[in-house]
Amino acid sequence: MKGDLLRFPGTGAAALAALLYLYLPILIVVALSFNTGPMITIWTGFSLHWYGEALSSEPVQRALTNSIVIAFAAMIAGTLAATMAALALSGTSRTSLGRLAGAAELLIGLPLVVPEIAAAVALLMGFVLVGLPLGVLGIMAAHTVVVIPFAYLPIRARLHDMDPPPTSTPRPCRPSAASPCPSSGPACSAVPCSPSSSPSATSPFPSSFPPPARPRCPSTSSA
Amino acid sequence: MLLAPSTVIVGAVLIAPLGMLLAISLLQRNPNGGVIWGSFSLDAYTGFLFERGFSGERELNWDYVSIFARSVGLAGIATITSFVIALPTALWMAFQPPQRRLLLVFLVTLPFWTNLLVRNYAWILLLRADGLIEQLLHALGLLDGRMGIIYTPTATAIGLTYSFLPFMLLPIYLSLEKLDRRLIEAAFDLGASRWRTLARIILPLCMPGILGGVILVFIPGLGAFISPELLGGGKTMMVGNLIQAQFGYGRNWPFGAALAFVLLVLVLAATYLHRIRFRPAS
Repeated sequence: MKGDLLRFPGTGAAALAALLYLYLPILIVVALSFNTGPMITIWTGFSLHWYGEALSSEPVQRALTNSIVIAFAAMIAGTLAATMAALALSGTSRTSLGRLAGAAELLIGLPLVVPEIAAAVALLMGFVLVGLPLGVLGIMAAHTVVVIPFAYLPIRARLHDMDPPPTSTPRPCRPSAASPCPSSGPACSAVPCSPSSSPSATSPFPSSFPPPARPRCPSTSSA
Repeated sequence: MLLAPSTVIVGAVLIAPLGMLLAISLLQRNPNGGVIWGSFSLDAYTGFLFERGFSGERELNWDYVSIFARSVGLAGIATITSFVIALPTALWMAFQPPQRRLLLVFLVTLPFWTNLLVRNYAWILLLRADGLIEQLLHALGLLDGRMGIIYTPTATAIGLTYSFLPFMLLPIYLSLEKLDRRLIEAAFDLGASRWRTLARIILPLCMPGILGGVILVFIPGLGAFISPELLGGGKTMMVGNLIQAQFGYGRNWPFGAALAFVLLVLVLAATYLHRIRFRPAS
């Protein structure tokens, strides 16, 4: 009964249509890549011809190598930097930073809101002015910046979850050897999950991305 | 200390170049490309509204303003369409069994990992003259002749909506999933109809998610340059293309820098307004 009440008529069909809309174009490109003929819209039979063609092409190989190298470098550098920042900006180490924490979080979230094209031309000018040659290294640096907030937000959300579980009623702090609980710590305050302590407050991006399996804090407006 | 890597990288590779961009926008243009160092001029900003006539007098020029307006319009259309698609989808997803919800979130995120160029290219195949949609409509006898959608603003709007739909879907879904179900049950118990519950309980409570989605679609939509280039055929220019052109064949760095800066200020203002609106009450 309860399940039925929460079901909104028509939304199932809408969701199916949305998923089709998301997937059909991509699936069509994939399907057409197996086409024999050189014309993309005329199906002449199944073959792996174009895959062989692409893999044996020298420029394609070079581009692929570049992509992989740049992606790996940005992934490692970005995740390292973001993890360190998330550790610094959560739990007790955050409280010691004071106002600085908010400013740092704002800075880290900035690559999400600066339009790509503005960041791109700014970097281009930056490299030209400083005299750095344009190339793989520059692209690595640019991608690392873009990746940092994407890595930071989910890591920070998980760290937030690792704090003592939030409860709706304030619980007296019980200091233990494993987790010293300062009297003013965020873990045992009356409102354990106020938006001010969640990363979503500084960024429009969802606080956990991808979302966690289990429900997290109830939204403050419903409390 | 742990903060150093992130802040230094963002500072050196984003903030510093943006500062240089601002500086360049205030320099005089070198007709042979580049800029004249040590000069100061507001030409780049006045050039946005005025152009020099033959005798050097200033004439109002709405071309660039209309490109900005078109960008805002197209980004707005993409925001609205993706909201219309995302809301029922998110509603359905949020009320599925937990296991299936995880799978659905994965399915929605997956296309977003696919290269933006590939996704826009796919729409060329679908929309172009004698493309797949046209062939289908011809086969069904619903259309003869051309659809005429490709290389128009409509095609750009379709591409933008498609590109940024997951950005709308995920925040709305997240706020719906976190929603306290008991409030919905209470509304039903008190005799509210489904649609009344939706309008009075569910929508207001997931407003932060909706506005997050709006920001996340509108901002990249405003600066988009791939969709208008590929699907709009380069004819319906958006700010992104205009900026790109200033550093390519346009060879007007200060003007390009000024445009990028105006765009940045618009976007930051929108984000700031969003933050004020949702500042925690405490």
